[in-house]
Amino acid sequence: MKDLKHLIYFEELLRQAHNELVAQACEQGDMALAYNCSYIPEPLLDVEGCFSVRLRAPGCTSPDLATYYMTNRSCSYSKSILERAFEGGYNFISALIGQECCTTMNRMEQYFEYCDLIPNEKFHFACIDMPMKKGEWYAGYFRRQLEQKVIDPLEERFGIDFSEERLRESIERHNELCRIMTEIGDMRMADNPVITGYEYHVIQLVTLTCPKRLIMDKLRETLEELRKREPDPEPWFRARVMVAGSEVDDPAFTKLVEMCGGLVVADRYCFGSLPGREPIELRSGQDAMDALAFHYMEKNECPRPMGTEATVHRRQYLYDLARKYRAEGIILENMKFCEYWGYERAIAGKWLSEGYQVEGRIPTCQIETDYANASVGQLRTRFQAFVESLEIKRLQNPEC
Amino acid sequence: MKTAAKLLGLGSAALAALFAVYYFNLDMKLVRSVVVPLLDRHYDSVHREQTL
Amino acid sequence: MWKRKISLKEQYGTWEHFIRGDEPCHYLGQRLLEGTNFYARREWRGVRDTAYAFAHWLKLWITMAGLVLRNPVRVAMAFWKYRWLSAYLGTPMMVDRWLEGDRGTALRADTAAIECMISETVDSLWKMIRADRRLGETKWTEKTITFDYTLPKHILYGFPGYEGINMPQYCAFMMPLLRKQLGCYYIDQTISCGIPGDMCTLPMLETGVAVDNEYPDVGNIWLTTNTPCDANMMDNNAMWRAISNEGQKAVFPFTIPMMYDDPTTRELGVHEIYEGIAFMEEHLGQKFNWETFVQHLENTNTFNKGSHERWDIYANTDFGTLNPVVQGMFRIYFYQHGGNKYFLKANRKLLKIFEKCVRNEIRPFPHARHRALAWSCGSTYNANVILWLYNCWGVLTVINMDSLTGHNLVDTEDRDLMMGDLADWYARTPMRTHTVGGNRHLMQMWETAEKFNCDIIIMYDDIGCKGMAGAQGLLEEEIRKHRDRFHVIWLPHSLMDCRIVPSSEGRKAVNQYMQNILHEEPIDPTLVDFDDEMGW
Repeated sequence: MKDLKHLIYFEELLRQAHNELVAQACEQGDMALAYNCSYIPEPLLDVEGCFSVRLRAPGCTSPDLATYYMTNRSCSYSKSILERAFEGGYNFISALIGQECCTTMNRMEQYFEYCDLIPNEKFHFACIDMPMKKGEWYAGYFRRQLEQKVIDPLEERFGIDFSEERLRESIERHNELCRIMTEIGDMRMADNPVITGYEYHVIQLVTLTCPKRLIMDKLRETLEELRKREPDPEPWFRARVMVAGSEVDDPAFTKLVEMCGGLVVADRYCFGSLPGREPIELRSGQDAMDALAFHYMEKNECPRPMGTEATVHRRQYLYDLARKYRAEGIILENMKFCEYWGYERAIAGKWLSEGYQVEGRIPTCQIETDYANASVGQLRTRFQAFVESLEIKRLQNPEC
Repeated sequence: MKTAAKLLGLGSAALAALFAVYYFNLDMKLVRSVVVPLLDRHYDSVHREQTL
Repeated sequence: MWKRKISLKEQYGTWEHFIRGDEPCHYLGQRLLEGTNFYARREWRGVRDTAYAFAHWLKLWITMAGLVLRNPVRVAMAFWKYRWLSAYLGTPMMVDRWLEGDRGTALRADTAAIECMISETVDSLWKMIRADRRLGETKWTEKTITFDYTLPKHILYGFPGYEGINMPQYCAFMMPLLRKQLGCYYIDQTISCGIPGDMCTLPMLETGVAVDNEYPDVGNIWLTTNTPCDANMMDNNAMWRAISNEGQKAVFPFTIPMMYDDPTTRELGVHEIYEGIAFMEEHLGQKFNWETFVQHLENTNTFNKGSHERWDIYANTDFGTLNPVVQGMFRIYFYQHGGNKYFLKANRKLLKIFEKCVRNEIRPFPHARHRALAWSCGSTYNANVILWLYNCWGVLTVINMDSLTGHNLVDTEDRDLMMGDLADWYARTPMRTHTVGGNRHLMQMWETAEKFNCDIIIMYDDIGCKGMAGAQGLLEEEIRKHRDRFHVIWLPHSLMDCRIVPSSEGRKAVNQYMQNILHEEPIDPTLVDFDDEMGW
């Protein structure tokens, strides 16, 4: 297939958090509001005068200082973020919007204050108490937390305008982005898609880490390009796979899967688009904050929510996604030392392989990764074996 | 009187025996050496389906 | 064949010491069977105290026999079915470890507390067994409700006629306390399902019992919770299939806010209590009885007031008379149950003993050279290391982190205040109060150590705990700032799995500090270095 015009540019943007577009936006007076967790509503941080930055630490292979603070038994995503902060990689941020969803991430975020990592007198650290159940009341609680911990302090400290009008504008911009990303993402459903999983991963990461107003034009162009792109005469891949799990913010991971012959057709992980790129619905009688709180609570597929409904729903969601995108297998991934996904991966793997509480069985491949993908050789072997097994299964059962 | 003396004697003997069990830790030695290994052998023989 | 290493004459010196049991050094280590923590001979504590301990041992066996006698067939079936139940046969041995070195008022106070815990346990085990569908459905089956391990049963007291069981406590948490190898067995079952072995071992143990499908099947509802931590929240997912009986039981997640002392989160805590009550009303078909509920809260307040008094004595005097391990376990046990009849009775008894010590200036722990605060999550397979610290090195732990949980008093006059205070109780769980909701909670260590006049902090180092791992650097830096005031001794362990960090490693770390930094001689040299790997 012909290379996408802006792909190399997007890849370049992902090399560091303080990339060209982030620097440009800061110079123009916009405030960078950083976050780590998919519960944090992007449109809230993308109001006029601000832009959201989901933190990554590309190329962080030796988080030595972070390891001193957090030991070698902590999730390497959190440690890498902390390490990058020590290196000064996030000095451009005005605020860190955190949460106490995940203990390790929360410890990491608290170090931003304890170690005074951001050289900005007005730097603000917010910590939200995120409910562990879904429903109208909990959405209301989430909303109040956002108001009390994010909106009020940022209004006071930075004079940011979080009025209903501004929020609705932000949601509308966000929805346009989501429509573009959803249309691009849906192209992966085709028999011979015009976009690879790697390319989609790069684009998705750019939408999370760069000021959206500065990339929208390139996203629109990319969509147009893809609408006209001719696929390869024959599909290059040997099997269609979905990736589900915790943080996967390195496109090299997706590239590795695809080099082993597996086309990544769906991205159900933190930093992925499923969920994450559904337009936000403003229901009648609902104000913008209600819509944001409800959407980000309801749509999130983090393993955190408790109860029978949430437990069963998450595996059903994986199954439904796999069916929708016609994935033949699911790679279930967890970052090493991630407590949520360590359990979720094993449970989902069992249920989906058995066909328990879902309509059928789906082959799974369970892996543990490190942030810097140190064990590439081992992963390659696992992916190759998995893809081969899916291929054989398809050959033996063409109807499936 | 004789019955009382007999009962007292029996009671004392029982108490002494129990104290011997207590002091020499015979209860735990028995549990550790005999009871638990027997039970463990049974538990290990039971086939279980993994429930996750 | 076991043989005394220290002769009777060497140990006791005089006939008086032998009669009173107050020899200068108890030489406890010599009583152990080689390679184990089993006693070849139980402790001789002098005539009076040995008689007392013997009577207590008899009572213990009678209590345990009482469980069997309630329904020998049913209990036998339970023993045949559940591997974890066999661990309770080791209860006398656990008690031996918890009473090591005790004399006089300490022995009396500790046995009172232990009796309370054992009576409560036997009662709960019976309630589980009698209601277990797997052993045959009975009239109690539907009247018994499963609670998660760290979820107190307070709201259940608003439903008289119903029983609640903190099932994972009895089927999982107790295992390494009673027989550490069983903890390892269940953890292995979890790992065999693909769950990573580097997770915290407590939820892995709970999950392992579920993997083997060894949780009794009682009732129709299950109340879970997200406390104390992320991993325990996730183990509810892992256990869902087993405990909810494949979704047949109604499950209520009783979720607690993370940032519990943040006033903005109080509404969530209160909301969950009302939701929990509504859930139970719906599923039990019974209205909530506020009277019986408030009575229970008042009983729990009574116990907590007693705890406050005892802590005052610990903080300001040397007359505190519960030994370190019993003190900690007693509070953790109490947290689940609240002020029930066993704890109220023990409370009264303990207050009498404490008052006697204060009145007569009795120092129950005469060998104490140091006063310590134990911080962070303690081990279970090595729970009595905190007592070993005293017996071997004279480091008396006067308070520990997990005791300082759920001790606020609840206002029972005003309903809104009451529910707010109750929400606070639910949030301040063992292993949680000081480890979530902000680093400032962890740093309460310093003010607590000051308040209790400690000079040493025993820092438990659970290598599987992600919450504490994340705070390592913070702790090290803060320790450095306070080094002129406190000695901090790191005590490594792996919570439930004795293979990862054997008990001897924990003791070794302490020995090195005491010998190389404090340059002290042990009080009991037979306890310094011994191998107990093959023990329970």
